[in-house]
Amino acid sequence: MDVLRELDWSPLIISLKTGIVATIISFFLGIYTARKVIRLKPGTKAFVDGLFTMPLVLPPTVAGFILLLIFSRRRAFGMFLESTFDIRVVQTWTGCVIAAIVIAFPLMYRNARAAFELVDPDLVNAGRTLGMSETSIFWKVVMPTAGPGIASGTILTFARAMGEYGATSMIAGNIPGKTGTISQRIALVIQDGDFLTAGIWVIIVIVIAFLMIFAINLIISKKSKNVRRW
Amino acid sequence: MKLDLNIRKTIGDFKLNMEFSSEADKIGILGASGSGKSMTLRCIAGIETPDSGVITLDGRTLFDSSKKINVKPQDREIGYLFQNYALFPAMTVKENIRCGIRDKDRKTDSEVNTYIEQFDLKGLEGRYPHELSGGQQQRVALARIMAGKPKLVLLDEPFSALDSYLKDKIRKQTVTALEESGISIIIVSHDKDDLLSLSDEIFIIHEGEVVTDPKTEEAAQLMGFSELNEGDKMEFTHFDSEGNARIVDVSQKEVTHRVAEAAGIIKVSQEIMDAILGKKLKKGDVFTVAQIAGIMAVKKTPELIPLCHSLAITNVEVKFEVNEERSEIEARCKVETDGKTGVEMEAMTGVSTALLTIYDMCKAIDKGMIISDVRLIMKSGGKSGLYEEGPK
Repeated sequence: MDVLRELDWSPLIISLKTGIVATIISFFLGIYTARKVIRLKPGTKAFVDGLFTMPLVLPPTVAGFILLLIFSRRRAFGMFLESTFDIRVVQTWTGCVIAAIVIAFPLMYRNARAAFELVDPDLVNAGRTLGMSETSIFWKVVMPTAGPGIASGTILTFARAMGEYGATSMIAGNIPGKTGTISQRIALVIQDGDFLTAGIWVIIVIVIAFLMIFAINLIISKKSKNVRRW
Repeated sequence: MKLDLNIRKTIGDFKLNMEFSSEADKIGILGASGSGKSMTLRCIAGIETPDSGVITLDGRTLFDSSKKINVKPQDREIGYLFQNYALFPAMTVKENIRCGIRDKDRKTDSEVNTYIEQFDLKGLEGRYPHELSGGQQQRVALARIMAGKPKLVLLDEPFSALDSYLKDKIRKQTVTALEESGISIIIVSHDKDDLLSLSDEIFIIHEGEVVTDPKTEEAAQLMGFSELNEGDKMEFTHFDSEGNARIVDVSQKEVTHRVAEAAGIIKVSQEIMDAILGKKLKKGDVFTVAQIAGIMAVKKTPELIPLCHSLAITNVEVKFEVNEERSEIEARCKVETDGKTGVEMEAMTGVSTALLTIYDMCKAIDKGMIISDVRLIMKSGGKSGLYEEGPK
């Protein structure tokens, strides 16, 4: 029990914060992109879709490398961000969030896209002939109908964002109390041979992940009980 | 309502080339599946964009490719009843209807309730679309459309998704609801029964075009004829306007002086011929009675021939010619009117009845009389102009 009392809880806070912020941003970004992409012509669609899905199939370290190239304070864009907006990405919590978004966004985007493509286009057409605005059709008709797909995309995005390790460690580093996420802490304590602390974190992660999935499943089944599926 | 439509659209191999205009309040479009009917409706509603052409409704241009006009479906004020009704699955009946109300100030519960009552949906307000039967779903969809007070409602195969035993009942309900509202409609179907009860004017379309020469087999089959004889000079447009007269709006047709003359023959035995000519029949003068019968029949034709318009007849002449050599009596009936539809049916009914009257009066002597060759010998006036029987 001493271990628990002495445990530094900061990784939990950092991970949750990163996960939530990255999920919120990915949610809107993913839905927006999915909405745009489904209206593209097949050729352009395949290209753009490939681009957005890349981070899902590439090793996170590759994403981390590219992010470092972009945001390094020794390079043009990174310097520009720091001098003009006073934004630093490398070795900061912002870096954690950006890494998490890049890695988790494809999950949101792909799930949203799949869900939107399943919505009967005539529902949208019906909304239009009834005089509903495009925004109103989207939020009142498309989103509830696509609900289950969107929700599962959100869960996966959150889970992925919270557990991100590779890209985060490269761009944000593992600064205790600042960028040290749970997954980085686990890796660190295992290197020190501290299996007990690692085990505690593993249990915490498992519990959080399960609770999240369970909660969102409940929400989906309530929300989508009126949308019939096979 | 005045609709002018002239649009072209290519979708893969299919070419839509629709051109028609109508002032009917209820337009029917008949065509097999894949003939382009739904695409035409979608273009009118604005949910599909034609490649080129013009659509105007009551003088308002909804689409004009040359002027780059393409009014958004939201602003066309045209309701669309989708084949599968397209009810929003995550909304209740009430919420669905509320979505149909265009005016924000009218989005009130009491407004929604008026439509719920009007479309007999009481008790179903809180249900979701999947908890409703097909007929109920259609009523919700119609209520939702009517809530927006559209100028025109497009019905895309409105009854095809319903069980056949329900179809008639729902068709009746829909007809009533639409008639009560007084809104113009365009209904599209592959089933002529749907159109007969719901339209004033019917266009037949085939492979993306309005069939202007309705002699095509396709048109004939759609109208319920299994076969057409190539040699027959069968006027389908005429059939369409006359044959489905009760559903055809003739108010726009020109009033012209119309004349039709028909003839028919009754072959009688020598004994009857003698009796008639010698006026020895117990029932009196055959020709006088037959003549009156013919005139009466002309006047009653619309009551006898179901799809015939009622007309003010200006003149009727019934004459008989006796051919003693061949033992035949030929009856001729000439009918005149100043009207919008022709009087051929009147003339032929007059002839037939005159001949039947002769039969009736002489049947006591011999029942072996033969009535034959009832035919139109001439007609004039109207769109089809002069017709004269060719030489035999």
